[in-house]
Amino acid sequence: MSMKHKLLITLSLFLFIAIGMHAQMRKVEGRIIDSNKEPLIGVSVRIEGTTRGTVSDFDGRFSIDASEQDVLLFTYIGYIEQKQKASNTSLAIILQEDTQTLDELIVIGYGTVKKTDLSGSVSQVSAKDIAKMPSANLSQALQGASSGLWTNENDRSPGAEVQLQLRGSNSFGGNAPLIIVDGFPLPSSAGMSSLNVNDIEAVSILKDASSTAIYGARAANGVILVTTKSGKVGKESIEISIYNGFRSFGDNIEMMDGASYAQLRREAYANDGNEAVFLPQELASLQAGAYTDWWDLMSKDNRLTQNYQLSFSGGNERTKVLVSGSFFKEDGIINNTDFIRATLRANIDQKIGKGFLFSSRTNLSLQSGKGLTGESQLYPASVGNPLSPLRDANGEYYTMMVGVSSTPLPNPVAYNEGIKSNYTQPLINTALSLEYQVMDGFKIKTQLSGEIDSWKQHFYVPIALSANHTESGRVSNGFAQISNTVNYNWISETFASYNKDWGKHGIDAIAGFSAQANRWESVVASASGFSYDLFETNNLAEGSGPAHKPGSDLKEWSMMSYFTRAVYRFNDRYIFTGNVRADGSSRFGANNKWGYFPSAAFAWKAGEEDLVKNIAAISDLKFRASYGLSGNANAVGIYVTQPKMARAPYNWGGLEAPGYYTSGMPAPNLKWETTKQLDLGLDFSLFSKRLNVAFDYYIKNTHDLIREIPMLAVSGFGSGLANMGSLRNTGVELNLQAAIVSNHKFSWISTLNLSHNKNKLTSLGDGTQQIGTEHWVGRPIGIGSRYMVESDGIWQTNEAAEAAKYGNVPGDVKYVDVDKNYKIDDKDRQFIGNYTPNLFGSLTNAFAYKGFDLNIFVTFEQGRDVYNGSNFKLLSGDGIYNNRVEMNERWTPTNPSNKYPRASKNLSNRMSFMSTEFLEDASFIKLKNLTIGYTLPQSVLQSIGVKGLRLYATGSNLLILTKFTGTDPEDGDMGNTARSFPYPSTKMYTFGLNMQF
Amino acid sequence: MKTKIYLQTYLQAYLLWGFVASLSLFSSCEFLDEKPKTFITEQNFFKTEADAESALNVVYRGPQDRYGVALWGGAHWFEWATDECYLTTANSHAYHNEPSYLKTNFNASSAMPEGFWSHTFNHVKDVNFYLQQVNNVPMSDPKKDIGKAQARAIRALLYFDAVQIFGDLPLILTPETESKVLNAMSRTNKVDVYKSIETDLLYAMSILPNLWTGNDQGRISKGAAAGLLAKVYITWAGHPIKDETKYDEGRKLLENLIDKQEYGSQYALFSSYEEAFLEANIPGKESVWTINFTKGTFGQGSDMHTNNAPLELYYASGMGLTRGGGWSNGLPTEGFYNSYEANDDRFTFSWWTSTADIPSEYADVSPAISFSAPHCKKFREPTPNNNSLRNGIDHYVLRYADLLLLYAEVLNELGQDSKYDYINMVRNRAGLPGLSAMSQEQFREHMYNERAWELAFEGNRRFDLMRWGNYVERLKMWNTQAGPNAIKGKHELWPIPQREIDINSNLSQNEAY
Repeated sequence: MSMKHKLLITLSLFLFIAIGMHAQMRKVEGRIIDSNKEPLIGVSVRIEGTTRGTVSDFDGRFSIDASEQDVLLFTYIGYIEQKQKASNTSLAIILQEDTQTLDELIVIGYGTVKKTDLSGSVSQVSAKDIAKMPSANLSQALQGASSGLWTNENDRSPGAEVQLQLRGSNSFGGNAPLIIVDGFPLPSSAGMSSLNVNDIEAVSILKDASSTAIYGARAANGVILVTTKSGKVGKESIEISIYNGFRSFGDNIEMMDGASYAQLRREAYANDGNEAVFLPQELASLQAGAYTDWWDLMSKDNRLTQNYQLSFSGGNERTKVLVSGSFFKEDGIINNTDFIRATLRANIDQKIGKGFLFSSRTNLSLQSGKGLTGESQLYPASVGNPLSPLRDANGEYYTMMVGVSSTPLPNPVAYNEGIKSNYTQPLINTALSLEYQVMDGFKIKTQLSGEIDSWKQHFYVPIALSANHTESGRVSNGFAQISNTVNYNWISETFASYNKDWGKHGIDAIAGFSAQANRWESVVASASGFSYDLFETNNLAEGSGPAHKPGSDLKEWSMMSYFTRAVYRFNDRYIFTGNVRADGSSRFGANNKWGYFPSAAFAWKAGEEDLVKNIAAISDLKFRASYGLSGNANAVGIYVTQPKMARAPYNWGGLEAPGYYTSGMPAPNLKWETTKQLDLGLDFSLFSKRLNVAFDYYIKNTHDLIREIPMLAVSGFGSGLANMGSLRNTGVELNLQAAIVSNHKFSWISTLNLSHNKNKLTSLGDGTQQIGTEHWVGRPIGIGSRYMVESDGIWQTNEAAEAAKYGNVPGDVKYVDVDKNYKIDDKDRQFIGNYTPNLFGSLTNAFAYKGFDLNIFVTFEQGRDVYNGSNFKLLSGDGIYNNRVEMNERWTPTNPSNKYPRASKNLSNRMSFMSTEFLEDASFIKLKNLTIGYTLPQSVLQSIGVKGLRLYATGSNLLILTKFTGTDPEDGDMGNTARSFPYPSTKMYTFGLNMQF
Repeated sequence: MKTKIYLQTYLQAYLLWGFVASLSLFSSCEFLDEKPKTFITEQNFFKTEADAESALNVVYRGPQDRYGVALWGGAHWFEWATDECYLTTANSHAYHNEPSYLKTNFNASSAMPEGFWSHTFNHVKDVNFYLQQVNNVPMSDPKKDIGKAQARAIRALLYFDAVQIFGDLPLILTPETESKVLNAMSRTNKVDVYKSIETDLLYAMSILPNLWTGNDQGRISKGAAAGLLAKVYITWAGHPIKDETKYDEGRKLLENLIDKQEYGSQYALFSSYEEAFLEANIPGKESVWTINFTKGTFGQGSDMHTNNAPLELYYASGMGLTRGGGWSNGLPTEGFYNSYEANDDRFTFSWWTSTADIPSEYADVSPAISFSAPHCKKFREPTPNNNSLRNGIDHYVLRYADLLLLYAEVLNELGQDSKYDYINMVRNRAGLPGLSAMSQEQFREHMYNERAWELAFEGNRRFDLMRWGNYVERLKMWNTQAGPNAIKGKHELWPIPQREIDINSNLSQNEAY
């Protein structure tokens, strides 16, 4: 039979069938709902094997002409496809959510991958995880969210960001991971804090080289990919979420009252052979039994944190929309501190024609805040004299804060109330993309993103305070300053992707190009000499003149990149991934403009092998290995490679003549730092996936560290930047998830994250063994801050003779004399304690019973020591600075304390250098969050016309177990002479509701 | 429908084009170039003649910094610890005390050797960058050459001073910024350093004009280069290299300059010593090589007098620097102060012991303020006598009288009797009788004092003593501050800064440090 005949016969057969079918058509109607009995809008209803079909309406109803033999196909994104024979003319269809596919898709660089096909080390944080506790910003929400991610909340002021560090410290410069939001690598951290936390759909934390290397020269510190929510097909909904939190002091340091302080002073003077001196005002306070609790005057419990959000999301097969608006305000427990953020987000996806997809992601945000300014507030609030009143007899602020000391402290309340310091930060972040499907499996996508980030600070020190205000330069009659920075950033990115599966083979490949540029500019202007405080910063011309020269600055950088990735899958068992990215950056020296960052990974899904399949307990097993390079381009500062010229005039004919000389050492060879990382991973699931375990081991060797090396003066320069030195991070990570109980009534899911990282400086590249006393080869970087004299309790009365050899008397702090020369000095220093934690992680226990849910979230850290130098003042015993109440337990002949030394006005009770007396174990366990929620049953909700309603109550930071005596175990080091004080640790009770219509 | 198809085709075309175009659009390297607009770089600098001029101005800063405000006490670096000068005991700064007392704390870690070392190489760097970059400036070759000639003469001066103080030196003649190269340099033998200095000065002599006029006064002339080269030759012939063949080369240059007036006819002595130091007379006929200074707020004043002026005036006047006060940093040793012959005009002009010595300026100060020691007043600006902005008196690097004495010195070494002509020109101007009939050795000995009387505190003394090889002996003779501590074979040279040896172990240390 010829081709022609075959064709003819086939055609007529179709015709016949079609006519025949038409004859038996009748109307089939039905309603499509989900498992919650919610109508599904826009579900595609198609007769199998034909192109005829319809979609469900607003109420989930559909009607289609079909014969009894026809099979109806119901498809809907996010739901399991369902087939139903059209034997009845009335159908009730319940579609089941396809949780499997949704959960398993993980966002990676320039694409997504099924979790089971992942060959690198990536942690996924879902919207649900993020929402489990009230957070001012995403960085706060990421605390304890992933293994390998160390978070440190050393700043607790309103809206403050939590410091993030992935897999250890990589550089003498910054260690901040690269943050990418909807494909847009953010130029600064403001972009992250501008996000409404509830707008985030998922966060992927890329840790190993094969995952990060696709971001090349900026990926060495790890990459955090943020995907914002988009509309969902058919699920039109309006969501309202509201919470109010009440924030109070955690376990704050308790200071002495007036009487104890006076007693301390008497003793301090007496011990030094003098009689204590008191000002008349101090004596008056003592007599009246009055004293000032400065912390109390500076702060208030139950300060409000508010969050309001209204969002709409919905869509159909062609259009998806999410619009959300939010308002967040946190009032700090310290007076006159707050943080406000308002956002408006519009995310739109529109299919055009056959192969086009247009998407836009836009976030408008306004952040603002009032804040503390430097040492004039929390520091005097801590050490301030309790015998000084807030105000004098005339009602003016009392200024002799440390009565008898020669350097009086500022009155913190006066500064807190008088100084105006606030900023506003409008930020627009937007991305437009167009994707075209050239053919099945082959797409091209181009995306243009931009961000405008403006920050403006108004700072005013009133007339009464400016002459004594150190930071503004002690100018007279007020100090007003306006500082403004604006950052512009754009990125253009185009890439093609190709996916194909055939037989046992599968390929996913991408290749693309990107260009990004940034411009940062700043202006600062100030004035002093005002007649009235009224003007503040609003009319600088009212001042008599500029306090400082006005200033401006401009910095620009650009990057250009090519990248490609290919994944080959064979037999659903073996996965090979190869990446390479080429990055060019304006920051790099002229001779090293381009860096190349290849990586490769291999995964073996052993769970698919018959041998393993036969073991009933094992439901999944996968081995992963990856190796590759990534860079830290941002360690190269902007313009640092330039042969900068400076001005030095000469004179001719009695007139100044300009002169310029090369002042900055040109560094044409300066380049990125490179990290080579090996990652070995093991994922397995046991007992029908009730227990899921992911384990990773990594070695990261970073070389070409950028550091300032002393240059031979012969060069004509003092120092220069060079790529010299290397360090190593090794670590293990464990993520364990167990569904301990799981039935339809009650579930208990427990998740444990554990991480350990070890850091070591391996070389400085030029044979030297240390940089100052800060960094030492063979030890963790920064270990210099753990190189100190060891203290050994207090000299006791029976040791008087030995103490005298050191010039000490009983009651003084005793130190370990390493070289036994009866002199405690630099030579007695030893390495003591850790700079970074040995182990950190989190434990989450989530319970659900009927409509109730309970989430208990604990974070912990073990082995990090903190130098708590604030105790040098708070346990000074000099009777000048107020001390914490523990100093009431100080050493006296009758109270032979071995912890707190005797009082001494001249501070002869201890040495002024760093010693282990103030090096404290800051290990902790924090009950970070405890939430109880209740979701109202559908039966109740339907009667009030609401789709969903959850009420909850949360307690944050309810309990902190630690031996650390400072403000919070997440504090950073503080030196003995520091004149600052950390923001207090707080706890908060929050009440909220989420409602969907 | 048609519109839709059109739109789609357009979009497809755009995307495909965009993908291809974007690959090439940005691939021009310029996108990745840094273009700083907040400071000047070499790339956006050396573009015009004015830029080249600016860079040359900085080159002139090299020798100037030593006598200006840029270096703290730089004026006395080579006067302290000599037979003629010591540091006031009122000064307690280690920076100044270490090189003045020469105790054991004057060592490789002392700040001042490091300061002078960095000063030298900082400015050598500026010269080297200038010499390289000026080639890229669009200007005529003769103009470039005349700039380069000035720069190379200054480089010669910088190296000449440094090679006498440190001995062998890392010799660096082109801009070098590669840390690996720099941090591995070793010291070049001093003879080769002298040869390099000679080459630079011969080049400068071949290009530079005899005379600069107008605002260009103070630039380096042919005579300046020749005069310095003569001094280089005579030093080369003296200690420590003692290549005596160089005496005659020095003599020839001085003959050309002084007798034959080949480098211009402008050189002569002022009729009185005093006139040579008047602001209006520098640059003038006695100027062979001078450094410009201008009083003003832009840091271009001379620090010479402020360093020398009495601390007593600083305190007693109650007006700090504004009423003639200063730091008393350099004081004349007693032996030197008492060594003058009778009726030497130079003595009366150089030293004062109280405000009564200059009644015209301190008539209102009564009773007169006496100083605890004689102070040098030769660099002062008679009115308004305010040292806070320093003063505008240009400083001599080479004074004609210096060259006359050098000429006499070299003629003596070569055994020629014409030597008296030149020394007597200087002596007669000071109101002293001429010399005659002295043995070579007597003349030599006499010259030790004559140069001190004529050139006191001008910044030359240490170099003279080292050339004569009697540095330590003379120090022990007059300087009771450093003399007892001075060690022969050690203190002729300063130590190589320890910081440099720590970075680069190829750099050897001078003997006994």
